[in-house]
Amino acid sequence: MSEQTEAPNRLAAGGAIDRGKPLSFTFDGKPYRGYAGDTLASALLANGVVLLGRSFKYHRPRGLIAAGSEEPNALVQLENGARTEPNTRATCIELYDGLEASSQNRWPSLSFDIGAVNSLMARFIPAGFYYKTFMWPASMWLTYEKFIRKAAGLGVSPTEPDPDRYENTHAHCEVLVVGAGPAGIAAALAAAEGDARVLLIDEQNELGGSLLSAPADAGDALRAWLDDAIRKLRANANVTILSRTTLTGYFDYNYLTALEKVTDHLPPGTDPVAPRQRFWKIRARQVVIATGAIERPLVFADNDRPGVMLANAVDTYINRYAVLPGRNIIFFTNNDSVYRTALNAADKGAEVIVVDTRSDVDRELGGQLESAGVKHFTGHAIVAVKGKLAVNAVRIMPLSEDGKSVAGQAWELRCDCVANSGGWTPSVHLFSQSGGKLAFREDIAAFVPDAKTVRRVNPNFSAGACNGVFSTADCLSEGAQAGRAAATAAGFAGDSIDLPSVDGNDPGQGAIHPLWLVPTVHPVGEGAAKHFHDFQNDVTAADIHLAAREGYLSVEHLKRYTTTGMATDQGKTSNLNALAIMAEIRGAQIPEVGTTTFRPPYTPVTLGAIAGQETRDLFLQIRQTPMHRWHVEHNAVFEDVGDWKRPRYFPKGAEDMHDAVQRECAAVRDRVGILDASTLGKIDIQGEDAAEFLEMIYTNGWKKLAVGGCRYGLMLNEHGMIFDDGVTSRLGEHHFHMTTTTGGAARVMNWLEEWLQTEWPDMNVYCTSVTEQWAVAAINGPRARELLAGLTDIDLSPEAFPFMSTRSGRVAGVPARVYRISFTGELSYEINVPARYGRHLWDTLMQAGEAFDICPYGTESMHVLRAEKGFIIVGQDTDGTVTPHDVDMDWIVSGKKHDFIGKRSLSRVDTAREGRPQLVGLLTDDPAFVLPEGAHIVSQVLDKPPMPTIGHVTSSYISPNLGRSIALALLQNGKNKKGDAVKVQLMDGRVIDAKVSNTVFVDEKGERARG
Amino acid sequence: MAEHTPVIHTPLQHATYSGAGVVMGENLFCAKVIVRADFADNELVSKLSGQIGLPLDLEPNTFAESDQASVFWLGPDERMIHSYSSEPEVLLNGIQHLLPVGRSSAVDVSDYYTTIRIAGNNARQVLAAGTPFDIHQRNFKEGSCVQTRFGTASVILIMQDASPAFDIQVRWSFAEYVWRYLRRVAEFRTVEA
Repeated sequence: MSEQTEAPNRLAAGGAIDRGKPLSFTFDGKPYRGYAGDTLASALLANGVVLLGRSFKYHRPRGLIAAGSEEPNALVQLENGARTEPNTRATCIELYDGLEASSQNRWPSLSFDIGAVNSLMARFIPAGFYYKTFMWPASMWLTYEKFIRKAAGLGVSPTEPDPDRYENTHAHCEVLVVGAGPAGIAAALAAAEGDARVLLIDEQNELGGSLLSAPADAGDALRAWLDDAIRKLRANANVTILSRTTLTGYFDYNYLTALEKVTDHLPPGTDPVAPRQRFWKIRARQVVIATGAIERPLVFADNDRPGVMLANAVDTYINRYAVLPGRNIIFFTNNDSVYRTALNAADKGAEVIVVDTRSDVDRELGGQLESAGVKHFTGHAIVAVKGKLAVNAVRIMPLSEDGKSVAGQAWELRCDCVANSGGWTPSVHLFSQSGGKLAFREDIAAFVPDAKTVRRVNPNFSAGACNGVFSTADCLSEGAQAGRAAATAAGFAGDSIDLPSVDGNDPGQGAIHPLWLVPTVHPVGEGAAKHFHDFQNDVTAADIHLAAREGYLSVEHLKRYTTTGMATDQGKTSNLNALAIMAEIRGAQIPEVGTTTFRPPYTPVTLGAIAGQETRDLFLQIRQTPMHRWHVEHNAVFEDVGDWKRPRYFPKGAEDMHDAVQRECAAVRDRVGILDASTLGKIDIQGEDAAEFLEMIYTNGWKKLAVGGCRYGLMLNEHGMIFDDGVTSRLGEHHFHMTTTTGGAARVMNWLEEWLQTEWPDMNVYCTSVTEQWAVAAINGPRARELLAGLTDIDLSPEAFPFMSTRSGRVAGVPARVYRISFTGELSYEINVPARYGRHLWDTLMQAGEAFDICPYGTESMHVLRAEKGFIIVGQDTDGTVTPHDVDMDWIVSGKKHDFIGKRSLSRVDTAREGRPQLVGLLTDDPAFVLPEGAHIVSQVLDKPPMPTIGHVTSSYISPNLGRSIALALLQNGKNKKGDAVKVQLMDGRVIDAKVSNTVFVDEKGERARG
Repeated sequence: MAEHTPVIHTPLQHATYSGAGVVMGENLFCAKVIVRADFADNELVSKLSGQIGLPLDLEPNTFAESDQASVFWLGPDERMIHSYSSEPEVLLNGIQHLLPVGRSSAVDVSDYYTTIRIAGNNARQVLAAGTPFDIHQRNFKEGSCVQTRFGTASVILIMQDASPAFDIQVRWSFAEYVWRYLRRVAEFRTVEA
């Protein structure tokens, strides 16, 4: 391989990059080289690539602004195909070999983009444009939407399934420290001294925070301390360190979430074991927020040109990545923090000019510039930025005393980079998410957490720059103090720790002189220049003026009207500038304007990480019965019932569902069928008040039920509506076995416990779920008795074992409890055995059943068979608005009992009135036609819907035993309409004629089940 | 009535898995009974403790065990008893006849639950992926048990020993779901981790 020439902006020495590990990557298809330790941003900058994308609304050329996660502009499309990811911050992508990235929001190419015409059209798409298109005229929205959808959004989502794997996990700690800069490291060390479990989270790949960007020669003592601190933390078993992890959200009761990028720094798909990302759900006793501060841009004319950056980003690129962003760098500032960077850049060979909006700058700083040969303008401002795809010059003019205007000698200064600083904004996002309020500090011109407003449920401490403390020495001591306090509050007294000396490397931002909006020769909003404060959402100072003119003065209105601070950016660089500009317009103080609420996530979270391992077969629990494998082996088609997989039907050969169900239903009525009924909810109820309890839970009487007897019961809720049903059997004087619907089992159990624990705690009743204890095979049909007789020692004669009773004994050689109850209307035995014998029971029944041509059947046939008998399915024929009276089951509502749940509601005017929707049978005039479930019964047929609806079909099947279709329906005043003709309107416009009938279609007297 | 040789099946058919720093398997079936009674009644507690050979007046969320049996605290008036030597009916009857009639219950749940044992260096991490409960040794020691969830399944988590080894008691119908869940998160890890 030939010697590669070094990238043009790469410094010959320095930086934390590994020059021994060169990496190749492409941007917009063009190959480049960088080093291990680079970010995509630093590598592009090293290669002189400054144009990285087009802006959201105006499609203006954009480059890097920052070096960290606050980057609003440099959003790129990472990778291709199934792994492509839009809107990733180039500043947060660690470079790996073979990385492919491309620019977004441009067509046909980055340097020539059709959408840029929006910039010229700006006066026709002002702030609030989307909002207005929503509002008026409403009919035009459908037209606008197509264009807005196409233009909106920056990148492209993958269309293929995500090939990566993700994990979701939980963590608990006494002290969570967010941010591993000087304050966070000190906090973690101090907290760990007291033996507390400490979780230290940081978004960068290395610990150190702002120290990672400090010049190489800055503070040996500080670096040594940092290395030692990290070593101590790593050696402490109580300390967990998560790097490359962003705290994304702070929720109540100190529940926080974080996204760990486990393998994103490696070429995709190269780690065969680890998940790509891990989503952490954290419970912390105490939280130390040490998230640092973000430099905010100055808002000046055309401050979005590629090459205009934050000053500290320039510092970071030089010191950490050995990249000099420009040969001619203009520093533009209103505070002291850029001076060190300016000198550093000059030292690295750049031509540097410092333009300070303040007229009174610290003499010593001026002197340092002078001795380094750096030109220094004070009381000046940049009034124009020249260059379109990259900055090539700026124009500066003297500022008036009040900073509101410019006048006097203008200078045009050639440059390829503008490094600006409007001061530092503490990162109060997490504190705000925790529910704390912010206080404005005039001396630093920024909001800080108001420690008095920490919510009791979210105990936390802010320390360091996020608390408005900007000098490293102060960050260290405040961090240590916060860590100690947090550990103590969590019950683990922390200790003091040794802190390093920070001699002379601690500039801070000095005496800041806010200049929220840098004036130019035109008033804001006039002329072609734009003053951007929100780069990601493409919002300008002129938009804030427009919002104010239109009356959107409140900060929350301002945000929604202009979109400032929205979306993934959450106002990191923009928020304070917007508030301050609005305050100036209103003539108000900044705190009067207030702040918006910062919302999680702090940076975007992939949906895959939130889903974690709970995808595909783990998306929801799949519950299986002891006979499940038999069903799989015998070709069952499954249906989801509650969480269960239940066989819906067992097709033979090429049968479809219709054919299989017809065959299965006929077999049950003619011979014998077998159903896996293990999924039914089962609750063991014991205690001397058990019968009394059931009297309250069910509508009918239970005290007189004999031991060994079974009874069907309806449960109502307090509103008198049917809630669940099932057969409950008396196993002993104080012992009942309740069955519930499959899907209702957990709900009923909770219901019973709730009444016992909150209303009737004095009752001696104990409920125990036994659903899975028993495997249940239901055999139904005229030959069921013969089948069972050969397998059991229980006397099956109708006298010894009548309908609606239960007996125990042995079946197939194992202990069993048999219930003679029927959901099909046939002679039926529900055989319960301990689950371990479920498969054995089933196999034995199938084997013995061969002599009777036994037929396994599924839920679909079960539905048909019960519908033939008019038995309801709670949740299908009822919907939470149906009383026992409505389903013609008055017989089950006891008139003698003094009370039961729902009793009072049954006498309410509305539940007691005549003419409510009532359950009826429906027989279509065409016996072959099966009504769709949900079809509307209409009182009047009109040309088109809507038509007056008087009911709907709840269940509908072809009944093989009747040789025709049958249906159940809820029909207004249905009880009095038996025999009437009705019309059923279908979705496709057809109208079907039907007759109202009884709900019982087969064996009205119920003789078959009793036989 | 014909003679039958009952075949016993378990939810996981005694599956085992070893790798990724964990060893997992389905424990052998044992007899299990849930007892609901007034455990503030010293006389009752002493009778039951004598019968089982273990104390029933346990600290909340702890268990006691011997070679023959285990007792788990599940609630102020609820214990689960495992027997490794008795058949379910024998265990149930032995307890039932000691209980005050009408003011207690004993229910056979031998087949309701199966138990998955997970041990190894990564066991705790694997469990932490599925359960929101704090299973750090500081909070969940040898002899601890807790009713919590794993994924979407209700489970009883048991800290068997500090090696560490955990037992997960899970309802029959959820057993395969929990097993697959454990496998998937185990496989995010390497043996050394």
